[in-house]
Amino acid sequence: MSNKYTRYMDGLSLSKEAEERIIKNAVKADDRYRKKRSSGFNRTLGFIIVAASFVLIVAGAFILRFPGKKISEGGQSSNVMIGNPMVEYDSLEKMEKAVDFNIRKLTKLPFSVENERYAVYSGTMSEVTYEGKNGSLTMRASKKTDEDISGVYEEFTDIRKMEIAGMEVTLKGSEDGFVLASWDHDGLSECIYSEKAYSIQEWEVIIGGVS
Amino acid sequence: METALTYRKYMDMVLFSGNQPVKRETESGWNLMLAEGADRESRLRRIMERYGNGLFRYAYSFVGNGEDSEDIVQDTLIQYLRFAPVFENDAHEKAWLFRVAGNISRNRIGYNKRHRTEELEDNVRSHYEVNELSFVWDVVKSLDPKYREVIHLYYYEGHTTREMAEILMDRESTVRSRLLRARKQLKKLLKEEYDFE
Repeated sequence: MSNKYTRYMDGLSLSKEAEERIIKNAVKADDRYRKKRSSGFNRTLGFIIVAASFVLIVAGAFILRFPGKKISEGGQSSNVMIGNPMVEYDSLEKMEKAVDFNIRKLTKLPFSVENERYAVYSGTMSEVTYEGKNGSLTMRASKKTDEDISGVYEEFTDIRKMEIAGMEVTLKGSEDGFVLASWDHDGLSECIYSEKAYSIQEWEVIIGGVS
Repeated sequence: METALTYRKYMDMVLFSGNQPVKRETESGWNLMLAEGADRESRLRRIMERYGNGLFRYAYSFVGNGEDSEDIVQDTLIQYLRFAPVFENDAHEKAWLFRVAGNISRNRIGYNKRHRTEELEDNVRSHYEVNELSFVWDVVKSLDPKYREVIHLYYYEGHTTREMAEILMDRESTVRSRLLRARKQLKKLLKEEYDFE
């Protein structure tokens, strides 16, 4: 089909110089993004190393202060216990006991689930990860809080609030869809993170299947 | 059975909890590029060769000037590198690229309305103009962007309304009615010059 509009558009094109410039600029921009991402990771790693060193120094000083003496009174333990931020469980029931609230599950997923993993962070936040060949979804829950429990601090270009399954849900993502959904329900803060981006319609199904 | 926190789990937790773009990028993005051994420039050259002018013209149909259209193509390629999407087929790849370019173009229209003068826009546009057909473009340009994009995708890119619905993430019926309204407006404005059949 060739009408006047298509002939007009045919007259517009990128010069070879423009193409080269665009490619070079895109690669440079990507380099800057990767560098920024990498330095962010190094900062996080540096913080962990400093924090771990501090814990070891404190523990070492404590042991030196009481050489040969059991730390806990009453004969219960003779080891220095350092709190474990994440504990894995082999069943949902055991995890529920640990966090002391009912954990809701995903019943409608856009892929076949081959494995489920259960974990509790700091004894207060549950995490269920559903893994399959074609995707992975992670649902976190904690007693209602104003803090962001997702742990996903990516910069999102598309953020929408909408009602899904009777809840006010915040969807976060970008041009290719949404990867994070969060909401409050029945005294709990809940969120789902996906490795793949899904459309609003797909999120409606996923969130509608939380029970 | 409770298990101890392994190093891998711990690093997973750090990646998931810290200020990092999460697994989607590390697994399907950077690692995929490493696995394929493809360098970024050659990937972009392939995209540019296949879709460069198409994306440029699509962007132009929104913003109406070459300078912004080039920026939009560039931003689309940056998104392509950043998200490193994996496509089922060529149609899926094209739909993704045009969807991203469309979203960036819509944002750019809003930005230009707030920041840019009409004078600069006209100066840049004249560089790309094809004079004898410019009156058709002037009429198309006068339409709302939501009508311009369906006109461009249907008449210039030759997409079906179903394909357009995928690119625009809208219902096919909505796309059809938008196309119908766009045609009606063009018919009214172009009169005997109307040739969008």
